[in-house]
Amino acid sequence: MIIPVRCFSCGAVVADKYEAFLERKESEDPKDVLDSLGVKRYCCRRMILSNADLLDEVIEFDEKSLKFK
Amino acid sequence: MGVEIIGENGGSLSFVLSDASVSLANAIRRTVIGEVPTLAIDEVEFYDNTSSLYDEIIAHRLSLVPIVTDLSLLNFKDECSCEDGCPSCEVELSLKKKGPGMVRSDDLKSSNKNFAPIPGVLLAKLGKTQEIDLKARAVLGRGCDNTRWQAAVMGYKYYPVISISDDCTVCGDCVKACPRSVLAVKADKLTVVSERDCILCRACSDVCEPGAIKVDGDEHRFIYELETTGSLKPREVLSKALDILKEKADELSSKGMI
Repeated sequence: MIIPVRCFSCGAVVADKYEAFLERKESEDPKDVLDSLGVKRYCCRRMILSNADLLDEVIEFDEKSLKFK
Repeated sequence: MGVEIIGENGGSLSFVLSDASVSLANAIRRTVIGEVPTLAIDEVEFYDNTSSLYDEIIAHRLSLVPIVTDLSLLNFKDECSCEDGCPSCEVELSLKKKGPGMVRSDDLKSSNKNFAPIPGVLLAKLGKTQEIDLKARAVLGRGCDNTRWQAAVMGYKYYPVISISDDCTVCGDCVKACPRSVLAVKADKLTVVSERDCILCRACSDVCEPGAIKVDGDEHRFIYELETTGSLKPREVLSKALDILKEKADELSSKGMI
């Protein structure tokens, strides 16, 4: 849906690094991006790597259904 | 007992604790994670929320945002002299935003300049017709009650002790096997380059045919890594945790329990 604020396992904040990651992963190796953002542990790395941004689709659906009300 | 700081970088700190027992090492870790007080949002009042995320989800996300905390200025709510919340035990924050766009922690306006949320945390996303309007109250709490008050992430490992015996044939297999590049062949001799990076995985001794490498952890020396969530500085977290641990130990000894 939307990136979780903190890592489920260790509790470190990951939501403040997600946008930078998305932007930089286009031109850089995702591994290096995560390293330079200071996401060291694999518990936090999977939070960012495995996130699926589905919120955009839900927003689109919500706004369309509102129109027909 | 001694503490040697081996690395400090903004929000993180690593140090070596020597001449200590495992139980003390773990007590320090648990105090840092669970006992150091920080600010976090505890109550949220919604005036308007037409976003695609439920009130509960937004409130939960808000609660997990670390807020920069000055511990000298705030009391715990239940220890405060006031009856039902006052500026010395509560911080009010408000958020009002219309779409389209991202809602970030920067949009949270704090009533007190000393206590602002850390910037850049994604809270929600709004479509063109959506908006959020809310008020939140942050209070001091401890990590052992809820993750939102966790001040830092902390872990430790035994100090690695790598010994190489004379049986070593300098074949270089262990150098290739090590995932952390701890070993290297220098001037026809196997040497330990950075023992602190060793994670005690023993991949080197597993591939060593003559059995010349021995990797052990020193049970009286520990390498700690501490990373704050952003509400306090790493040294602040550590010194506060040690104060709390000492207080708890004093309380036990005053009751004759140790």
